[in-house]
Amino acid sequence: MKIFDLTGKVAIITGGNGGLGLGIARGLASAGASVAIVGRNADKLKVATADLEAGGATVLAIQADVSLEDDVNRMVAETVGRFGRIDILFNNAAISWGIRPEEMTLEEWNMFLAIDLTSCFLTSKACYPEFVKAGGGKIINISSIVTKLGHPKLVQYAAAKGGMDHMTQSLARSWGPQNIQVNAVLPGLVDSEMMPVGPEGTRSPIIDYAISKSACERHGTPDDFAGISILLSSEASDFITGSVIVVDGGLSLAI
Amino acid sequence: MIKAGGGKIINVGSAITKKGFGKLVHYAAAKGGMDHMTQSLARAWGKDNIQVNAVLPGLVHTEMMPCFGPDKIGPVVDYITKKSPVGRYGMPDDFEGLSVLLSSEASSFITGSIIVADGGMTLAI
Repeated sequence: MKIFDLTGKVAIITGGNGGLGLGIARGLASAGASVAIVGRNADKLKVATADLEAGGATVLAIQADVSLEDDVNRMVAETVGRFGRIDILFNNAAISWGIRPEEMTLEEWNMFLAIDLTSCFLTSKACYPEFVKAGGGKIINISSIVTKLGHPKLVQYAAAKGGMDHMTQSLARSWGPQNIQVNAVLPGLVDSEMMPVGPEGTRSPIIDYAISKSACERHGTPDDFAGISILLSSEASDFITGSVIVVDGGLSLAI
Repeated sequence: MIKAGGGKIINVGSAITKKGFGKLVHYAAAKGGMDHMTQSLARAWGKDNIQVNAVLPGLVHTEMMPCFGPDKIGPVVDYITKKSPVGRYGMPDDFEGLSVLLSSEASSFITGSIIVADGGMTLAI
C-alpha cells in the first residue's frame, strides 16, 4: 500500500542493535526505509547489521551512547553524511532492572534518567533541524506499560517512561507546525534482551502469570512491532500525533 | 469470527472521551461506554483470537461534522484547526492506515488499546 511506503526515507533507531529495536529496524527496512541503528555494543551492532543486510536492508551502524550529547550529535552527522537526510527517529534505547527505591543511590537514579529519558530529548533536539530541512518528520518514543501500572522495584524506570509519555504529548504540540508527528508506543511483555522470556518450562512464575493473564495469551516478539512502527513512520499516520499507544496483547488490562 | 479462527473488532469511539463537553453528555457517555467495552471485550474474547481495539477520531470532516461547505459547523472548526498540532481537521482518508493495521495480522499483539487519532487536538484544547 502506497501510504505505508518508506522508500527514500531514512530512520534512526536507537538501541536498534538488538531486541525490540532490531524488530523495528527490520519492519522499517521491509517498507523501504534506510536504517541507521545505534548502540553502545560494537559486537551487537555487527550481528544486527549482518541480520538486516541478509534481509536486503540498507544499514548504517553507529556506535554511540545516546545519553551523551557529543555522541548524539555525531550520530546525526554520520546519518546525514551517509544518507543525506533524516525522516524518522525511534527513541528505543533503554536500560531497566529492578532496584528498591529506598536502596537506590542518586548516581543510579541519574543514570536511569539519563539513558531512558534525557537521551530522548538529546536525539529529538539533534534531529529537529534535519526534520525541518526534510519538510517534516516522525518521532516514535518506545515507552512501557509500566506507565499504566505500578511496580515497586521500577520506580526509576517508571519515572523515566512517564516523562517520555508526557514529553511525547508536548513535543507533538511544539513541533506540529513543522509537520513533525510525535507518538509513543507502550510495549508489554516482549521477549527481548531486556526481558528474556525463555523457553516454556524454564520461565519464572511471573512470566507464566503474565502470559496466562494476557488477552492474547502469549508474550510479544520484536516482530510484533513492525506494523505499528511502519504506520507511525509513514504518511498513513499524518493525522496521528501526541498519541500514547499501548501494544501489550491486553496485558495491562488484566494485571 | 470463531468459525474463521479469529477476528478483529474496531470500535470507532471519539476523542470526546478524553475531554468534557457540556452539550454532549449523552454522546460522551455512549462513547465512554464503548472505550471500556473495548477493554473488557478484548479480555472476554482474547482466548478466541479476537482482538478488540478502539480508534478515537477528533474533528473529521464527515456528515456528522461538516468542516467546510454550506453546513460547516461554525467557529469551532477554525478554533480547533488553529489549536491542533497538525493545523488542520481530519478527512476520512486519514483513517485508512490505522484501519488496515488494526484489521491485519500486523496487529495480532494489539488488543484492548484505545488509540487517539485526532491530529493532537485533545492535547491542545
